[in-house]
Amino acid sequence: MKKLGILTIASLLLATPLFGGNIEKTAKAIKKGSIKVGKVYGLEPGQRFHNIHNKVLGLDCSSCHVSSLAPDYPYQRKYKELPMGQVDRGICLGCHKANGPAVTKLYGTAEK
Amino acid sequence: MKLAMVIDLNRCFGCRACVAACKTENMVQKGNFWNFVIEYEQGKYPNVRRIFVPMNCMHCENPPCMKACPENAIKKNEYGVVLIDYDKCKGRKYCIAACPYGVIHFIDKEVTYFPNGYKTPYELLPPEARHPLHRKKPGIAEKCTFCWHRIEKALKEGKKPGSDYDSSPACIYVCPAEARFFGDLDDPNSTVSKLIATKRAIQLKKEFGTRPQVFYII
Repeated sequence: MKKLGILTIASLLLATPLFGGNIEKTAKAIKKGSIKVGKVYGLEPGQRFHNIHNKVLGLDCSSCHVSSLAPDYPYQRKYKELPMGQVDRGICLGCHKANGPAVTKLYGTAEK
Repeated sequence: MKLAMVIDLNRCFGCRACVAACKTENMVQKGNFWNFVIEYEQGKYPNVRRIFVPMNCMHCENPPCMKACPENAIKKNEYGVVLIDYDKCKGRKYCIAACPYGVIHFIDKEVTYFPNGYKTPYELLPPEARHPLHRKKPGIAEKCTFCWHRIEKALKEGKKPGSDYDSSPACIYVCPAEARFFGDLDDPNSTVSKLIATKRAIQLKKEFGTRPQVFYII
């Protein structure tokens, strides 16, 4: 079990410099399973979500977590404080839009 | 039929009647909100104005929460209402991370309205006595359903959604400023269609391409 943990951490550490430069390739590799990001789907650090964004893609905490959101930012859960700070969803949009590099196309294209 | 909501921000004065109506109608537990009002100031003294933005699930045409859910627990029905299947939801919170409006909440643990864990009569209702959309439990995500339990009943009775109190979401008819409207977007004669066509109606965060079905008159 311990060995498996060490191997996973090592693969994550190795993956950062190797795949960090090309998000699209990295995203496809994650989807295929050639980059191990863990099997636990969850948002907590150490689970899949943070493994992908922080460990594999190399985004540090401050890339997503901001100290506060503007008062006119229409985001309902902003009153629920996160210990690391809130996340401006505009950051997610950069990669997860329809023509973005991420495999999971969460958002569509901007309408006029 | 495509159900939509229109909220007139020029009329809303932030009384939160919609918030209270939603809480009681949907038995939303303490700390979570299916409906919420964001407020902020605009302008500089002496020309200031307070803006109130009531927010609930936008029931997007292109819902990112549905795409993000690893359990396939979120579905959009034929009327355009986005619903969470509580039996499938495993509380992964991916929907919460994907929603650009922050309208999805997580039930971490059961929190009662009375102190020391004492429950109100509503909270004491057993799951089998509730509508499936009100059978919430700790460890799942929850959000506005456009009061689907009411709409579903209205449709069965042959009523037009939005035509009266019982066939509309609970937040609509309680609004003392009459700032909220609900109806069928496919019907050009519905109040919502007419308002969108004649007033300056916008959708929030259009840049996300989610195509929300809640429109704001500004």
